[in-house]
Amino acid sequence: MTKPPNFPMNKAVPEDAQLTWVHDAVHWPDPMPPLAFAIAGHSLAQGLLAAARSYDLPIGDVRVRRINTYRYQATVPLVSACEDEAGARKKRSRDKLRAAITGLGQLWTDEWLPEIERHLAYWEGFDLHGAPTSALVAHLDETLARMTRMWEIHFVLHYPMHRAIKQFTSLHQELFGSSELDAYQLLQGFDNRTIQMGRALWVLSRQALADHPVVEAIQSYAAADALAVLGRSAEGRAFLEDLAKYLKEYGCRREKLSLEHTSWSEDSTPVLQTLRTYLAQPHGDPYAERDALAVARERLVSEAREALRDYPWTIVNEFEQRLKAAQAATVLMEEHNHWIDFRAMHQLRRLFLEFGSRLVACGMLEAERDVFYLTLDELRQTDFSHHRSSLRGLVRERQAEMDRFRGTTPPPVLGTLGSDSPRMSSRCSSIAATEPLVLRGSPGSSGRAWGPARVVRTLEEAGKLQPGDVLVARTASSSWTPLFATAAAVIFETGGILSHCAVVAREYGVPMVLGIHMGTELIHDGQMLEVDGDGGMVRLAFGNRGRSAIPAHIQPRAPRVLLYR
Amino acid sequence: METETIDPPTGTNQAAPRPGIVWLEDALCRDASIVGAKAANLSRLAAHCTIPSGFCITGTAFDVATASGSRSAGPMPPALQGPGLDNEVVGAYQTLGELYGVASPAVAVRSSAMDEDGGDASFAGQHETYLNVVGSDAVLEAIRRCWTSAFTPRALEYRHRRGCERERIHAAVLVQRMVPADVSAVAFTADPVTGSPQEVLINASWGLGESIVGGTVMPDTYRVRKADLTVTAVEIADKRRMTVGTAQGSLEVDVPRFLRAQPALDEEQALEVARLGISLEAEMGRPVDIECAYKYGRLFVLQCRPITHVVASVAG
Repeated sequence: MTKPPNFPMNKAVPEDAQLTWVHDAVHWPDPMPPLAFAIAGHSLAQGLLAAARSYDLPIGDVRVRRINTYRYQATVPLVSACEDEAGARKKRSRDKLRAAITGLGQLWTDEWLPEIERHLAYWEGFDLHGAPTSALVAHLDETLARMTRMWEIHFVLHYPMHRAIKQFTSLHQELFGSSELDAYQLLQGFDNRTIQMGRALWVLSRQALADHPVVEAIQSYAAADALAVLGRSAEGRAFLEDLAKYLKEYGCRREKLSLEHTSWSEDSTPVLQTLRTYLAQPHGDPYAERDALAVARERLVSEAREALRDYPWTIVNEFEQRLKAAQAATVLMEEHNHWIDFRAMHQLRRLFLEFGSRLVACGMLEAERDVFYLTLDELRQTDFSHHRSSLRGLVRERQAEMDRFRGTTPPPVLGTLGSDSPRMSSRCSSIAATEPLVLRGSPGSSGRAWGPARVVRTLEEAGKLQPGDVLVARTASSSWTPLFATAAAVIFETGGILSHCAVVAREYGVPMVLGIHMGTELIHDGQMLEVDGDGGMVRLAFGNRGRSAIPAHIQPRAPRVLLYR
Repeated sequence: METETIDPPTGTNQAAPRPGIVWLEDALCRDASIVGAKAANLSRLAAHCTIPSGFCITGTAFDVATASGSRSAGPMPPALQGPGLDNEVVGAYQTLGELYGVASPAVAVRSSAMDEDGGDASFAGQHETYLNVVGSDAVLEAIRRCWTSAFTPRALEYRHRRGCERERIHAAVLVQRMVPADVSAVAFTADPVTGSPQEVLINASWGLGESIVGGTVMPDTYRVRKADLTVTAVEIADKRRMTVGTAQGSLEVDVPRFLRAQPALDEEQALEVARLGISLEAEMGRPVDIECAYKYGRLFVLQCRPITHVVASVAG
């Protein structure tokens, strides 16, 4: 197998070639600047390893590499001296995970969330602007240590959380012969942070609808201008106050996880764009929708209990325990995402921007945001009081490198393909040979929908999504989910049934298909699509551009595995 | 042996000279010539173990009900004749419901033919059993079907081979509160293959006993030495199938994977079943084959009969 010519691997370390390097296209799809990689890379890997060890998982090491500006991760398995040792560890691991699964909600409330809040309070309490440079550098190292601990909590939660949900859905499937999506219906209709974020925005849109000038400003002006226009009227200023309250709670969100992306508190364009789509929807009641989901959930739970009534007690008991744990886990999926991936990460962004601001002040950088193109060591070694050498050239070089690789599709896996490579099947879709206009992916959320496609590449473009459109995107962080209230269906190129967006799509009751490889290139704006969330497929309609919609050069499958040399 | 006394429900018709219905707790129910061997055995053992409450539609009722039909003609269509017995059955079923505090209790309806479950010939499996029957109409229907089953060509052929006379056929029917078993077990107080009376052999698996009796599951096996009540052998099987109660009756389904390789009985329970077997064997005066069920940790006896084909070697 050959690697694409535009993805050179000349810095390969021989021992790395023995490992399986995976590009996580869901969380970190894009080229990543060095400073963002320092957090999403080494810091995350250390936290992940610590969490895996705390559960006695057979993971010896977690390595990350920035290959051609993309983030790749490899897991070094822990080799046991003998089978007995491996067996004993497996048992310890199972017991520890079981204990964590049982107490998941309690552990979060009593231990993990309070600790996260302590770290956040520490960061909030540090005077970034007033700190002398030496203190800022010391603060940087302290912050990194705390962030690594945050990642550790993230993964200490991650393992039992995912296991709890999978254990429930697999038992439900075994008992009732149901699909995985059927099982998820027993977990939905609980409030979570991501849903609350979307609903708060909806409430804001209803307030805006009450005042014509506010509607006018949001719908007719670009985001930056809209804010200025709003500031000129009393109604507008009242609305801006409400917007500020919203941003106080959710302004730590970025459209993508990686740290170089702007937070909503710095630039509220994505929020205003989403508001614009909401203003086009006169009807809708997210509270009623949630309550309906909860009613449906309780009905399904009752039916399941009734069906199991005369089953052996052990099975009934196991079903109840797994249901309870999975329901708690489903809420925590979004809870931890909010607190760690956005709130904590936002604090790092603030710190890095402070470095950026000082570097701009002394002329070494052109813009604050350029700081993300530096490395941690470059930050530590910078002497802000002297104009030594400008960092601008370095930044331009690194920006150019990222731009060069932005257009390529990074191979999902590099190195040696192990037998237990993660979820390869869900990553790839194909154009079925029998039905040339059917794209097959995997199910994300139940239901069918029919509507025109709207390819959205960034949240800046969110405003073009009209009610009834099928949202087509590469992938998204949970920050995109308010758009699910507007979309008739959602199609993503990557992601699994337990990705944040899939969890939230089910809460919005919007059909979702995941893993439509190259969907944003195969599908064009306005093209009519039929989306089958349960079957995990998308049917492209004739008309509009018909068969020619699939460019001849696009291969039905991406190269899945590439080997060094 | 811990004993549960079940209060005889009020309104039973013990006084009637030829009762259509007798309760398991009634003295009359110990007479196999009235209720069949299956019900008589259970009634007799009720003092020594816990049995689910229930009542029996006697052979007399059967005779009356089928008097109009020709006994010697082929498959006959018996029916509950006249409103009298119908009402009695419905009344007894309601009494059973009151006993358990539910309007329509789930019951098991089984035939207890006069010549079944006797010491000489085991008619195991020759008659129908209806599980998880709910509602008086369904109970009446199940009773009719039990009667019909006494005349199926298969049942008649079996009796013929066993030398039972057609004229002696009286089909009694047993209606008992359904035990939605967590675990079912079958215990033999003598080895059914070797005839050795030294050990109690227990098979156990998840859910109702049908999958064990029907051979669709490979059950766990426990051997308990009678002399010192020691578990001498345990084989935990991969138990893939189980019968469970459903709204429609019962259904055989897959055992969820997490449970397949878990022991159906712990050691305490294996010993409890063994002690039960030893006690019932003493009561019956010969090696027995019992079907029992655990629900919420409580052991119920569902059936007990002498082991037929090893009796000779054990007795010798």
